[in-house]
Amino acid sequence: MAPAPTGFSFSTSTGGSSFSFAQGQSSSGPSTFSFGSSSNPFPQKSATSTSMFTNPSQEVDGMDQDGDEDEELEVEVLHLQPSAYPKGEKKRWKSSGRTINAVTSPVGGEIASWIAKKPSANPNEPSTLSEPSLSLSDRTIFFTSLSSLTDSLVQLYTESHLLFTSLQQIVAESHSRRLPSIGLEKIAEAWDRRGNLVSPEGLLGPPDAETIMHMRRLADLYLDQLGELKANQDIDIELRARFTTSYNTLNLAEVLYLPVDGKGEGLVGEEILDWVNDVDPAPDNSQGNEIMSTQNPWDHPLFFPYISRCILRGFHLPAASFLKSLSKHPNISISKLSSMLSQHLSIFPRSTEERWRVDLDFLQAHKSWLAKFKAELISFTQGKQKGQWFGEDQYKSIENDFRVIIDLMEGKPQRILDETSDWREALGAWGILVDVDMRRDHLPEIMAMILDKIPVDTTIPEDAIQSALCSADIIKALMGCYDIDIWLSAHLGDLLDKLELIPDDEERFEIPLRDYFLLEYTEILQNNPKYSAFWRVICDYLNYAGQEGRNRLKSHIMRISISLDGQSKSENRKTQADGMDVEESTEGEGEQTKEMEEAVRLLDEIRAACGEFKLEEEFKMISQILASKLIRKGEYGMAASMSMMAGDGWALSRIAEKILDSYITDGDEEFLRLVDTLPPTLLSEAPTALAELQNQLDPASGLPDLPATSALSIFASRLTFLSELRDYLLFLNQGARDRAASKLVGLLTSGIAPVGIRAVLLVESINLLEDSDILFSSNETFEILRVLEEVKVNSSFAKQDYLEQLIQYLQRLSGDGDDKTKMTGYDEGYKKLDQVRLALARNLARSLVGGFDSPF
Amino acid sequence: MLQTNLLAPGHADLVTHVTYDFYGERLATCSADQKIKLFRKSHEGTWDQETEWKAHDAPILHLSFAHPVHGSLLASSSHDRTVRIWEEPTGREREGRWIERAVLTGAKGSVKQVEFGTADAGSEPRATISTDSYLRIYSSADPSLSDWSLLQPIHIPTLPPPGSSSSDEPPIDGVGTNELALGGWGLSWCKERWWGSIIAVFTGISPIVKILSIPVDTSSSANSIMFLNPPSSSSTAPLTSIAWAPSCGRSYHLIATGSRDGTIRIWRLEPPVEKLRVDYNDDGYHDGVAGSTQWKGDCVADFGKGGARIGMVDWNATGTTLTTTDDEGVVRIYKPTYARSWKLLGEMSAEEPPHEDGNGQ
Repeated sequence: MAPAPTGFSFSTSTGGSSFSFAQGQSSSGPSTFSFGSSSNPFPQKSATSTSMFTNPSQEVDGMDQDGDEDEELEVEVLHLQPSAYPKGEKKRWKSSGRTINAVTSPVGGEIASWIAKKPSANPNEPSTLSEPSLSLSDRTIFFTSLSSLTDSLVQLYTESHLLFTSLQQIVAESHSRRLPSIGLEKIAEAWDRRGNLVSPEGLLGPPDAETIMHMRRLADLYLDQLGELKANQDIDIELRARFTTSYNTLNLAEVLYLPVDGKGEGLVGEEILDWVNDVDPAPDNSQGNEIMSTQNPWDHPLFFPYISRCILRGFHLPAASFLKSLSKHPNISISKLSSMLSQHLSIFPRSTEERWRVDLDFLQAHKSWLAKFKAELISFTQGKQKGQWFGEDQYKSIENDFRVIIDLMEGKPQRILDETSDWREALGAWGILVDVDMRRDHLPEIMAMILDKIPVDTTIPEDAIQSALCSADIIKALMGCYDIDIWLSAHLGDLLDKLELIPDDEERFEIPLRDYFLLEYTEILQNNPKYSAFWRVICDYLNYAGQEGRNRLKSHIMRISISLDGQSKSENRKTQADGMDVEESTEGEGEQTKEMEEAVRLLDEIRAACGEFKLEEEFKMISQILASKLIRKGEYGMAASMSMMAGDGWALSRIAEKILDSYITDGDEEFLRLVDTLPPTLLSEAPTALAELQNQLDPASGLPDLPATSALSIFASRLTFLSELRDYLLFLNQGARDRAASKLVGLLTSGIAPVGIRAVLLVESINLLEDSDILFSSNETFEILRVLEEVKVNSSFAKQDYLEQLIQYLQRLSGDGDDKTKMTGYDEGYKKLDQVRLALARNLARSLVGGFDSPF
Repeated sequence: MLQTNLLAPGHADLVTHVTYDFYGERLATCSADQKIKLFRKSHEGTWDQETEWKAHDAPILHLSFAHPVHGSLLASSSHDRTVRIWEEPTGREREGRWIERAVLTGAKGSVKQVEFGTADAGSEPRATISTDSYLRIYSSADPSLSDWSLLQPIHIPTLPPPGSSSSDEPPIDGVGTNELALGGWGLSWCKERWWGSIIAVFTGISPIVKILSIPVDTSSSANSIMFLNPPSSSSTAPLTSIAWAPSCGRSYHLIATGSRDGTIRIWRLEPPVEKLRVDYNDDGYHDGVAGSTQWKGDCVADFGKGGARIGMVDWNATGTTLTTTDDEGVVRIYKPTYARSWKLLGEMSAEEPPHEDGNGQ
């Protein structure tokens, strides 16, 4: 089994095993934990081990059957702490009637497990234990996580997110830029062979050179991040090795598939060689110094091998100066040949030299260099037999050494394959020695030749991936990446997919490879204890991960918890009023305000995200849920804002009712406070909306024209009523009794008062009716009388609807509890309404007698 | 894989069930001690107790949180043959026990499982399965949650298979002792509403999963959509647990079941597709029931036969990892690979870890 991928790493080296069982709050980071209130100093132990696992045999159709059945896999075993039984006592533990159960958290990938009883033989009877005393593990719920992210991974995942999104935008923009130019603007949509709708972008083919150059710049930035991490000595060595592999692989992919000029038509040899020298530096400088510092360097056993390596790695000048040291050789022929070789090597044409105007100049130069070199060589050897170059027998072996160097300089393929240590070095040398005209298109063919002689060591994943990249076997390369690092497979897969290099394989796979890797990567972000910090990052990746990603995005965004329902402010006020520890709650309030601010900020961000990702329905539901939570907590103002966002008229109306209830049960002070928490626009716009609604009434049926009504206007009457009632109460409090009286008449006669409140308003009128001043005209009095009659008549058959609130109101006024029966309550209600009638009669008499708008 | 935390819930007896709320921020535990306890995750990641109360007169068996759009509701089922619906108190009554909104009775055996249906703007169906093998679905359209109606209880063993009009056998009340001793009862809602309310149920010693469509109004009766018969080569041991994976908009659904003999099966269900164009190669009329409401089900994984009884199976939120437990005390986590086979990601055991060499004992 290949090493576990990033997110599902079973390694405990991330610090997760450093449990702390300190009592009380754990102040350390998330990798430690504390055991709530009880202190249980468990011994610190390694919690993981490895066991062999036999893959579930796959007998059913549709399963992958290619030979990995019954494959022995190493599966990491996590030992939960505190353990339930010592090693070897499993049987006893099982026979005691115990088993284990587990559930998965809907977010964060947490798994909760606990020790439970096995079901009893009679499922209608509770299970029993043979050893009923509860052990520590019996009283524990264990929480585990599939993966955890180290700080360095968090850094990489956070920083690469912005690059990833920029990349998506750049490519999308290039599509829209290119569309008109190729005349596809008229094709709104097209159908592919299988009858699926494809967007015009799908018909464009790979991006243009300019876009590829942009993509290269972003790939460079990915590389910068990986480069920084692989060089960071503070990071665990295993992880650093992974960063290095990712860096090398991504770098190679960039060389091969994201050429500097965006076209990739140029010579690629030098770039590949640079990459080889970067991945696997050779030869060793200090070794060279050591060789040169000896009396006769050529006597050093590594003298010639060192020169060969220098030539293979493109370090021709050092090789030349090594050869030059041979000019001091006592043998005149050796001295002569070495000078000649050294001289030619020092002028070996390289495509990177600036003197070439075009590739052809370089190729010509190399050709003539080679011709001249061969000619001079012939003039040196003058047809001398093998082994006869330097005359004496003692120089036979040095002749062989020279032949190696000459073959390398001449670029003889067999010699290069013989001398190189692995396929990488061979490929690097190939492009500068053998096939100086090497282009990207030639690579698969050349790789086949090289790998034929120097097979890849498949046990080294990095080698397998990189050779597959060079051989243009993209799927193999990406699958390899997926096994070593999910970040790499996601981001490299995305790049290669944008270049349209990933072949479709719909037979085997249900979703495109790129989307699959992005989804796998997103799962890592979602299934770790720090998931909440990544919520926005997850949104972006899901949004760009095809249809399934979009669908997952919907459920992802719904499950982001916005803790607006934490202990609310109004509650805090209550605590203070109750004379509880004021100092502490003030402190708490500061904290809560901060928490609230954070929650509001999160909500704003979620709203923005829902807008950006076109998740209106989801945001409506989020608002709806929040509104109902807030209503429950009495935070009506914010609840109303949420309901407006959700377009949830029913909730608005419920809020209005709740606030009205507060007037009935808690009095005008609480009512006014709650009304003031409502968004001002809600109240100020309500009357206009209501007027609009009334204008839309169909004169024939009296029913509103439904399609034109918004949620706001439907419930505008409730809100208008709230605002009018507030005005009435304010006038009353300010002593403007005449204005209060006319408001009250308005409330009763305009028809916007809910039926239950009418009786209350009638009772409210008693005080104003009995005022020393005459506040109601006779017409107004008649109107109120009409309402009174209506309430009385209707209450005879719908007592609860019409009188319930009056009773509550009267109970509040009298300060009584709930001890009265309903019947006496109703009796009192009727009595009170009779008082209203009396007051009305008196007022009518006064207003008539007083001549105030006398009908006579 | 690592242990991130632990919690001592403080029940007087073993915990019987644990459930997370929609946001994974709250945890409800119940126990044979008849109590429910609620915990909330702190910023530091620890679980702090919010409240606890005695909820039933017998050991509690199962808990389920409602989708938050229906409010803050918790349902509990018990050996006392009832299901109770609890609502979170408002701010004023904070710190207190949750308010009992309903006691749903009618079961003639212990209520093994209760599960709220998925989010819906209208009523809120929820289901219970009890050892008398009846599926009971209650709903409340009333916002105050005081009025609950019971859909006609459905006797699962005699439910007619899809296509046949009615059952010939009358439901036999009562379950044999053998069935009681060996049987299992469980249910799981389809997590999406697109096809209406769909539920998967199994009862007694039958290895068959029955998929039912539950109508919205209580007057019409439920329809069986599909019976999932184990493949001929597979185990016919009674089922013990079932979980319908969140499909996250995939074109198919996954249902996992666990059996008494350790078999884990994963079913792949394909819902009926709306036909937008004529496909002449499609001979859908020949395989089974005709019509557009045709679901297809295949068993895509079948393993673990001959092992210990599976305690439960559970999917993560994206339906991409499966967690199972068995009576050997092992928790296993499986994940599908890109090539559609299932890979064991890791195991958890309650056994004491082996002592490390040279580390002293």
